[in-house]
Amino acid sequence: MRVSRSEPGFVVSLIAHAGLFLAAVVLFGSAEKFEDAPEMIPIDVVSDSELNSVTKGEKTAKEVKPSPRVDRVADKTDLPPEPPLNAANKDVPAPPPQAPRRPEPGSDNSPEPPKPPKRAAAPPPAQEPSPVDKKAPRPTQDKPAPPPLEKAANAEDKPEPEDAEVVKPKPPARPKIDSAQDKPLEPPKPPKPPKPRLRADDIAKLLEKRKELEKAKEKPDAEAADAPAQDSRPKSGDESAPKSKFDLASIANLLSREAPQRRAATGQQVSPASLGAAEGAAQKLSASMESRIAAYIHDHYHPCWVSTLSLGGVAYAPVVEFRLSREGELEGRPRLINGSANPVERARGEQALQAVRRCSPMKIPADFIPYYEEALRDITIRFRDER
Amino acid sequence: MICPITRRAAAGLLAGAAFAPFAPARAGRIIDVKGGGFQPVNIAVAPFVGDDAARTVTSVTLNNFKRSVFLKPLEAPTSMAPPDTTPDLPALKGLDAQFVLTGRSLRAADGRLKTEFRLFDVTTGEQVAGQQYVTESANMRRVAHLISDAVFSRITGEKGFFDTRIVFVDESGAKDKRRKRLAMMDQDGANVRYLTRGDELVVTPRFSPSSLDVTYMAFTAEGEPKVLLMNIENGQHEVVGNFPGMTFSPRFSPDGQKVIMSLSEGSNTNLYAMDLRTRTTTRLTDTAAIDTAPSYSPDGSQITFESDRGGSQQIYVMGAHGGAAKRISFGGGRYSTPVWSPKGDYIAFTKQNGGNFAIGVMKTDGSGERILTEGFHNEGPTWAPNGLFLMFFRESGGGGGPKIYMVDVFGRSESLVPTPGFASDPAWGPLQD
Repeated sequence: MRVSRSEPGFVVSLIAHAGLFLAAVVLFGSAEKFEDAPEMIPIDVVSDSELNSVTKGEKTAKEVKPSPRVDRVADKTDLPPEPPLNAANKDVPAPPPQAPRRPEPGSDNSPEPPKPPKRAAAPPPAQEPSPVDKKAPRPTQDKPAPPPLEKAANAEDKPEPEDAEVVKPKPPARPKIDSAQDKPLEPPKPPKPPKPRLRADDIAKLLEKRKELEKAKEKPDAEAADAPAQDSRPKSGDESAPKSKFDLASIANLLSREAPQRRAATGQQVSPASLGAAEGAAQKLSASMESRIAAYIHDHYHPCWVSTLSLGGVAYAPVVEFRLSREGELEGRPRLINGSANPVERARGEQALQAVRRCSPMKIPADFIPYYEEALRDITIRFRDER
Repeated sequence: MICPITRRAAAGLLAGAAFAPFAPARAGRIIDVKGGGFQPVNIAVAPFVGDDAARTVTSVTLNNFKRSVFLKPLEAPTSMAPPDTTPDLPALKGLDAQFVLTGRSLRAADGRLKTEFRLFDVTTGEQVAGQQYVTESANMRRVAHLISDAVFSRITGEKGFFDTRIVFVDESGAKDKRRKRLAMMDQDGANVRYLTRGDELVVTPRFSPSSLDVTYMAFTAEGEPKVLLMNIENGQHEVVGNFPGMTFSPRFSPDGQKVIMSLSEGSNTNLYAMDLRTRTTTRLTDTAAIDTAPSYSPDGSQITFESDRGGSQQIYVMGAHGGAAKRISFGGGRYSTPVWSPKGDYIAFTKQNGGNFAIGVMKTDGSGERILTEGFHNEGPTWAPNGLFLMFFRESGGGGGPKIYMVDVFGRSESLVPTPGFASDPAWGPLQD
């Protein structure tokens, strides 16, 4: 290609581009790096009920042996057979032995017996009158009043805080999940492989021994033997490379074993809910279940109210509070909380009290029992008059 | 010990703390049970212990409860509810009794009878009422009425009505030659007493709130109408006033100080109020129509009456001092004889529609009309002092005469009030002192 002096455009363009390229290399190379993006903090909105449910259990749940808490099923293909390197286990903190956050009642493995106070094993009835009955204390021998005393009993039976702390290598999963989620943007550091140099040295020693053996077998090839000693990685296609215990698969195994520890919500099988701890909240009462229970109560007491005498013209709606035992028996006296001095309204209020007494006991269906504390122990009914 | 609080936990705690004051308390949930049926209250009545007087008390009380509609008496043996000890609650619950009445009547040293009763709530076993009466044996029926009232008002909260009297027009003789006498009886038809001799035709008697006076209309032998006032204790008569033209439908004001009536002048009839102390008369309406059958509201502030000023007989309401009147009846047919309930909630009326006469009630604004009974001829409703019952008279046609019936304000039960002969124009008196 000939360059015409009369047409220097090509040369000029070439020079200009080259200069521009050089300038870019020089100038941008010394430019300050962009700062890393500031760490983002994910925020989960946790409702009060969710927080409570963290410690909730099911009263009727099957008793399970403690196992690491697992919330979701792990990918099976990621789990190789048991890692060959048992020694690696020493380097990795073992998963805590107790999966449940709280000692399970009746569990043989529970570390300390902060006995979960069983509700059925009600405390002595005479210790404290129920709030409802304060005004009219019942003879204590009449009926024990287990439910009202439960709280007090629970408070007494509750494990000492110190004890609880002792137990507290606690839930393996949740705290760690939390801490992991606090810093999600950090590059997921691969778990440090258990110091390959040491492994390499060990292997080198083994290889040296082998070398000596080979030398003894009159196959002295020192150079060939030295190279694998320095680099543990067997060269591709090098069939003569000694089979080392250290390989990538073992690291992968280590990683896979570490993962459930760090994020213990993953495992082979979803853990069933544990038995409810006494000091935890009761089983969560859903809105639909609450409505079912309310409808059941309504249907039970409705006949006794409809069968009262309504003379009409009374806007007053007596509101009656009462307490039921787990067996559905009326405990103490039903109480009219909006009593009236008006004789007609007073009579209507007494009819409401009678309606409660006449329709008691109320058989509590088995599927409502878990919600006894929340929805069935203390009942308030407003008896309206539709006439 | 280090107690790390993660941000998640902190957020949860914060959320819990923030919303805690607004979180609905589970225990505070109120379940609404609507209803309010009309089931009579079951009351077991054990025979009163004692002699004949005790038996009278028992039978009168049982009869009262049966007629009351709102109470359903169940006869229980004395062994179930002895007068001195707590009743046998399980047995009474087996009878489905909600209350049990026990009592006895014993003769005291002075010959008088001491009658006492106790009312127990069967669901609790507690005594909820109990009283004692000492009286002559001749008054045992009244004692039974007093006991019935005490029980009725304790259970329903409403005033009783058993210890009351009815003034009515007793009719005897052939239909074309009827003798009409003013008579008085207990609300259950007992103790009939005649107040006039029957030489004058008497109609529309009305009780005074004081219960001692009755106002009524009498037609002299010459056919001249007059409004009279009669003291039922001493039988004294007094002419309220002689007015030119015809006078109709006298009725007392709630305070007993005035009588309101209608006076006809030519083709018009208007309402007048007369002060019984000063004998002055005040004209309340002035229309070219027939305004009649006035009745005061219980607070004395309003008057309801019937008028054909709109073309047909309808019910109107106006202030007690006259002025603009508001029509409240709009159903088909003609409405007449409105009577304001002593409770103030309803106005009873007679309604004529086609060939039928019905007795009904409506709210004071005309809404909620409810027919309690209807038939060939029903007329003249009068309220019990508690506003829960009405009496009226019915003529069944044929050759018979009128009889007095009682119905509750809901029209659930109707019963004949026994009278010696035919009876009409009942007027229910107040509770006795």
